[in-house]
Order: sequence, then structure tokens, then C-alpha cells
Amino acid sequence: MKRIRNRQLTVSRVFLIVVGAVLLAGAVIAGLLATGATDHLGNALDADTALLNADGLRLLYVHRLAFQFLALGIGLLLIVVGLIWLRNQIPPHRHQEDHSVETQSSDLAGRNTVAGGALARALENDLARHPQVERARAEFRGEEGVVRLRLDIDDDSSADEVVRTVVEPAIDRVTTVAELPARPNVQIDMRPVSSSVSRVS
Amino acid sequence: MHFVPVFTRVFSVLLALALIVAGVVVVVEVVAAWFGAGWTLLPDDTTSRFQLWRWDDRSVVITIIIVGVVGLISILIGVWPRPPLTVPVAGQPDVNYERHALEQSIRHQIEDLDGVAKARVKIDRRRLRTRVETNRRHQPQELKANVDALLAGVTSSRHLELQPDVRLRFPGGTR
Repeated sequence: MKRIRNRQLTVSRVFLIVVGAVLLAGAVIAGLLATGATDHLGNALDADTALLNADGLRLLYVHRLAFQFLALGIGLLLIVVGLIWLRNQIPPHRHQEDHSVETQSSDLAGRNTVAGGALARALENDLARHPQVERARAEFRGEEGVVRLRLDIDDDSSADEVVRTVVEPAIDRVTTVAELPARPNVQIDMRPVSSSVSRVS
Repeated sequence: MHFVPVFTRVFSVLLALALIVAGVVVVVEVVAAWFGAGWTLLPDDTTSRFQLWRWDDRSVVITIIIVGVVGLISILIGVWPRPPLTVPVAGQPDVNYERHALEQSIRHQIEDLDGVAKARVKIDRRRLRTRVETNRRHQPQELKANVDALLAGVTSSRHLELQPDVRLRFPGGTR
């Protein structure tokens, strides 16, 4: 859904700003030393000596274990941040969750499982029967109590009207028929399409 | 086509991979040092190289410039204004329109108006920008009033909290 992609992009932009700021700050500090604008930053970073001078080397040896733990922490942090950031790039895909219902009959104990995909298709068909809906896609996330919908609606229809006259009754029906424990929250992305466009696609 | 989301994705993937590689190198080298294995992934003469390179060496300066440019580009991509992928419906927190589809829908409606040759619609966080072209030489204000009325109707019926901004181009001027 576009709203999830929207969120992913926002998160990526935050990561970009933070990582970019760190890189730029490092480059500016190093640039000050490289251009001679700053003579030294402490004894370890001196514009007139090598990148790793005698003072820097001594500092590393004296606090060897502390620097190693610090480097290990930074390394692990980089790996974790990188993995989270990379995972955030995976486009959202529809994942249907199955729904289990306790058997109500007194002489036959057990549970019935309704496939999430079947529930989603039933809801899609129910929604698409309505003339205002050209196409419906549903995602059932029972654990979160959320149903995500992507609806292609007729150009002349408003979202408010479609929600009131089409979506809410359909959600009520699926809640009853599938014996959902509670009415799920519905998140909807709508695409107004003209009838001619939808006929072509 | 908006390029900011594409740049955001490409740069995010590249930088995320770079962070992971850098992290793995650091962790492996620290652990290798604890086991007395010496430099493992980096060259054996890494320490002596850092003792030789000076701050004003060409390779060091080039590296600093590359890091600075990458950082600057990352910040610019991060702060560059980006149109949202969805447009919220007022009063319905869980209902959105997909921006691109909404822009196309409004564009079709404007182009259906008598006298409109071409229209462009762009939606950002606050505004609904419309550029309309007509071949009419006379009374363009009448056409602009029609477009204004159409957009007022669209924003009202679709419950959009967007400020319409219409610019009309006609032979001999802009209004």
C-alpha cells in the first residue's frame, strides 16, 4: 500500500539525513586538518603529522581495550542500522493471516481455520460487486486487527460516500460471517479512475 | 515522474550496504585482534599506512572530498521536498487517496471542460497546482472561473484540505 511506502520513504529520509550529517561532519573536521585551517585537534590529530602519529598510536595502546570495545560497539551498531535500513527498502507485500474459529457444536470439539487469502478474496468480491468500486484488493491482518484495502473507485464517487455505503457494510458482513472477535480497523487507499480507463486496464 | 523517491531508495540501499560492510570489517578486525590473529580483512600494513599518510596527501584529500560529497548529497536528498504518495481525506484518518491517481482524475475532469486544450495537475502537501492551456483568445477569465469552480467542487466533494492554485495560459498571456 502507498501509505506504507510513504512511511518507508520517510524513515529512509531520516536515515539519510543522520548518516549524511555524520559523514559531512567527519569530512569537515578532516578537511580543516587537511587544508591547514586547524593545526591540531588534541595531540592525536595534528595537521603537520601523519593521520596516525606517535601520540595517536600511544593513545590507542594505552586505552587498547576501551577502544576495542568502542569499535566493536560502533561496528555492531553499523550492522544493525544497515540491516534495518536495508529491510526498510523492501516494498510492502500483501500478507494474509488465517483466522481460527472455535467449533460451536457441543458434541464436536475443535477449531476451524479460514485461510486469510480466502477471507480477503471474499471481501474483495463483496466490495467489487458495488458499481462505485471498479476493483478491490484486501489484506487481512487478524493479529493486528487490521484490514487494508486498496480500492479503485469510480471517478464520480467520493471517498466518504464509498466508505459509508460500500466499505462499512462489507466489513460488518465479513466480521459476522467469519466470526471475527471484533470489527477490524480498516485502512483504505483509494484510486479514483474513470470508467474508460478501468475498462482499458 | 518524481525523482526524489528513486534517489532516496538508491542512496538508501547503497549507504545501508556500506554501513553493513564497514560494521562487519570493524567487528571482524576487533575479534581477530582479541584472538591474536592480526589484520584479517584489511591489509597487514594498515597501521603503517596510517602512519605514512599525511593529512594533505592527494589520496587523503580525495577521500575526504568523496565522503563530504556523499554526506552532502544524502542530506540534500533527505531534506528535498517530496510530494506525498497519498493525500489524506479530511475527517477520515484511515482513508487516503493515492496522489498520482487523484492527479490524473482531476486532470481528466479539467480537460473535459469546454475550451481546455491541456491541463497539468500537481498535488503537494498543501496545494493543488493546476496549469491549464487554452487556445481561446477571448474571455479567458470565463474559462478560469470554470476551472476554479470545478476545483472548488472537487476539493469539497472529495473532502480534500488542499488550496487550489490555478494558472491559465492562453494565446497572448497568462492569468
